[in-house]
Amino acid sequence: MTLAEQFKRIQRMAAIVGVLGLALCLIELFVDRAQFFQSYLFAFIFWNGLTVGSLAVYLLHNVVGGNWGAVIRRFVEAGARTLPLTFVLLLPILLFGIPLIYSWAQPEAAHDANIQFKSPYLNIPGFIMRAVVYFLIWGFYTYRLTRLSDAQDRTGDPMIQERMRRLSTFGLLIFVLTATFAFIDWIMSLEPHWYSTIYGAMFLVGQMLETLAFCIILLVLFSKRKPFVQVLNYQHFHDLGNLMLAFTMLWAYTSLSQFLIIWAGNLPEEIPWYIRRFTGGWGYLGWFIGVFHFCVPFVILLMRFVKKNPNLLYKVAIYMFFVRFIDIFWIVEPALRQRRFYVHWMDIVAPIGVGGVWIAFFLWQLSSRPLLPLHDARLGYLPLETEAAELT
Amino acid sequence: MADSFWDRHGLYGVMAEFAEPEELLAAAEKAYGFGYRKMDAYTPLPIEGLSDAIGFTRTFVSTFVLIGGSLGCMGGFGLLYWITKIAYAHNVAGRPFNSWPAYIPVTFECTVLLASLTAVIGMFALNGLPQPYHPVFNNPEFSARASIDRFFLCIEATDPSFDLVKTKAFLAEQNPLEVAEIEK
Amino acid sequence: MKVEELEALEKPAIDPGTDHIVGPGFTNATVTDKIANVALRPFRSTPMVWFLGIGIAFMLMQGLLIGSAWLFYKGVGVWGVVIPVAWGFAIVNFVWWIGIGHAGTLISAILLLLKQDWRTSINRFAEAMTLFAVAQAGMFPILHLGRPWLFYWLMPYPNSMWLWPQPRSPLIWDVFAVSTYATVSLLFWYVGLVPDLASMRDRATKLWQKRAYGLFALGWRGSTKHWTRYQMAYLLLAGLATPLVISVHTVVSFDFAISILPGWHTTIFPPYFVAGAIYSGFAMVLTLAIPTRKLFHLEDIITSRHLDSMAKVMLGTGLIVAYGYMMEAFMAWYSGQFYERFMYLNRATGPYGWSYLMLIACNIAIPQLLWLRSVRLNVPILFMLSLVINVGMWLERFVIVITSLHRDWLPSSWGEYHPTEFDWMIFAGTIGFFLTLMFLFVRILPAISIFEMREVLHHIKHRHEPQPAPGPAHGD
Repeated sequence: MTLAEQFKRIQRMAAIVGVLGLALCLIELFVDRAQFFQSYLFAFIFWNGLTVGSLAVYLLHNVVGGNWGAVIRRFVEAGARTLPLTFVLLLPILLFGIPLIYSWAQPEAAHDANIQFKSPYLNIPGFIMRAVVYFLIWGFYTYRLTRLSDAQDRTGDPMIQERMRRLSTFGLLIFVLTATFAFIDWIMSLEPHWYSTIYGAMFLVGQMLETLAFCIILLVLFSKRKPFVQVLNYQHFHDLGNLMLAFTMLWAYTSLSQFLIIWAGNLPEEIPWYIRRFTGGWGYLGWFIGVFHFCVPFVILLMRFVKKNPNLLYKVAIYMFFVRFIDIFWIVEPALRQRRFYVHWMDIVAPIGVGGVWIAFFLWQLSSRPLLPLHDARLGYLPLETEAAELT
Repeated sequence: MADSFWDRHGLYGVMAEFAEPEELLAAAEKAYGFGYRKMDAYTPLPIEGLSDAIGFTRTFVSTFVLIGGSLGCMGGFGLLYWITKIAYAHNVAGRPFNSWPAYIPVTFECTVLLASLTAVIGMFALNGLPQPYHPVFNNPEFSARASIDRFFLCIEATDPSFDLVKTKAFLAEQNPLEVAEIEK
Repeated sequence: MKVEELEALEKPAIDPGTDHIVGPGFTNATVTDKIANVALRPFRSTPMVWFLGIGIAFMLMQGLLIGSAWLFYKGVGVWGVVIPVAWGFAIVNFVWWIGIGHAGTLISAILLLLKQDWRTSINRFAEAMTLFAVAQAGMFPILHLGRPWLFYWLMPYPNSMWLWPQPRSPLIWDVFAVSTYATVSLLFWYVGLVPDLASMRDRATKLWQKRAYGLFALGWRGSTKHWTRYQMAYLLLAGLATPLVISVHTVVSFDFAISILPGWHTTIFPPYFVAGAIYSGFAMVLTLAIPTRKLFHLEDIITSRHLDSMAKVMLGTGLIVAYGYMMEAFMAWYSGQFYERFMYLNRATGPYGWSYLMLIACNIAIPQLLWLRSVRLNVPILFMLSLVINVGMWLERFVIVITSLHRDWLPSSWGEYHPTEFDWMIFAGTIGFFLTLMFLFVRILPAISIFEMREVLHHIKHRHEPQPAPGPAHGD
């Protein structure tokens, strides 16, 4: 079976799983609408994390360069191009979900002076408008960079790299700001009294870590195939492994900073966020994340032979992807399930449904272009057009 | 190990001087292939692959650092735990005696301090430095240029296959600038 | 030293531009001589500007001696600190100096791990700067103690009163962080120096010079076994120093953030302090490197490539700092907390509003010029910008410390802070002390890592040759 046929097959399977999963979720919509949106929001945040994270990694790589980025460039490009899909996926929340999950949009909020004070920011039209603006800005950069990237494949003009760098430098700036406010809107405002200045940075680092793990998984899966087999060497895996280590440490650094400062301050407007996440059974998950999201992968990724061995790195990346899933669950859901830990069947089915659709869309985007950029000087080896274009 | 004849007679070894690192690397590989084991190369900058060429691969520095770092980590946390829970247990602003989140920074600093100290002290100790006297400096060419721009290979007299005449002849074949006998 | 060699020292060097990290035509011997001769040249051929500079710096340093002598005699009342502003210049200067002390380790460690080859010409210099800046920083908390001779009470040691320091306090974390950082910076700097000291020993012509350099070179002979262990240890030190350098300013930020004071207690502080430290550290490296390269004709070793890269790092870290300001301002409003909001408005419009406006101008607005390549490559303008950023980062600490403290919760406890002549004297004195040490350093020790410059030359020579296939490394 050729790669193109395999792509088609996986894409079809993912689409079927996704549609079936989402259809199952619809049942819950009629049983308990609040529960549906609780789980759906979590699924959306997790998979949209790959989209946003892809754009972040892409912009970052365009600015700082490095060989590691050239080999995963097409993955993050395709990831960023899933923006239209994730926007569609956000629509149910924007149109119907806000009053069901965001307490600032519920009638009780009218009697809360603190929430009333924030109402110029936390209100339904503003929330919707901002979401549209974020997607428009991200979409603009994705569109422009895709155009440039296509032009580079076509013409091989070495100046295009420089133009992409210039566009991305300012783009990264705008992106970090918009992503920060997107996370404040979508997740932080679930607990409208709570605030933390590091939150945007912390969440963005986590999303980028998730994306790196996802890209490593794909890269190892493709590594035995043309065109990757001619380009990849141990150094690429070593660099990407180091990057995953760096982001794991950065995630721990930002998370610990937030925890330590709030824990030591112990102020009534801040500490409830952690109380909700360390009581009623949620604490087990919190400890699990501390140990298995930082300590274990940190020690594993310190060892050089792991990073130089694609098969081992593959396992670590799958593991990281999984713990990211749990971490996002722990960040999102305690806000909605007051001091009571439970996993609803929707918490599993909704991510599978959304994920199936997302993967199908992602593979469609990935297969629409050669799997390696044709004229990226950082590859060190330029794949012949016929080899790289095997898919198209 | 019993001293060899040459060793007993005050000879440290035979040293060849090269102008380029590649020549030294090739000579070192040949010498290892020839059966010499007790030798060392001297360069003004670290040359990749040279230590492999003379058959030296394990440094043990990272083991030292692992031990030092673990001791620092446990010692740092242990100290604070002992102070606040055992030696001087006082209620401070209602915080628990074992305020472990507050101990993370100091534990980290202690880990890094001990790991760094063992890295440096371990490295110098394994290298046998400081060392006020070493025979290689008896070669005037060595003491003038080994740390600047010349590359040296020294086959030591304690090597079982060392023979003054043969070893000198072997080194002379490697296209050196000069071959010199080094006295102890 | 021969006459023609002396003349060669005075020959101006040509900057090879942004594409090169070293000028053309260097060999292992000439690069050694070029760098070593800055230190080994005879006393009488020292540039006059050097004497002038160290003279001024030494005079400034007297301010520290006089100021602290008076402080010890009279007590901290000679400073402007009053309740509620009990933390004044001492803590502002402490944080400023320790921030400057971050660039050295950052350049040496993080850029080594990132394989940035442009670090080589500036790392030694920046490490020395780190060491001297940390020395200045370390003085301030001790001077601020009131009874500085009892500073050892900060350390946990068995004593007859059976008392122990309070490890829940970030001030104790600071003791550990700063002393660890000073120790590790010294180790890092010294380990890097050892092979170069051996070169200096072998290049020196006078016996006393040979002995002095030889003593500290520890008998280094360049054995390949030694190099292997050396590189391993250096890499591990870099790996340890990278999180360390971040942790130090994080702990400094905890000094503020662990409290519950509006303006101090905010979670963005750790990364934003670290970015600010790197920002001011690179500014100080530029402030010092630009005159040094001019004075000793090192334009072909510290090229405009280095200046350009440092300017870009400054731009990037400056933007992170701006992000921090923005999040603080937004959350002060979003929190809905009265005191948070009041603090921020008061910071920008209150009695110290001038400092906030100057801070925004120096730290955020003016450095945006660095977006322009023509500015980054214009050495005089870049020098001016580095001075502006140094001032800006000092103002940042002033704003954080003073404006957060001078308005207490109750208006009856409000107060104002006015630094006295002794505050200024001691601050200026530390600048003098720092510059004196820097002047001595460039004159006595190799200010640029010689053996790493040889490695750079080696790599340039082999760049176009095929590389061996990478495989699992041995010995780790």
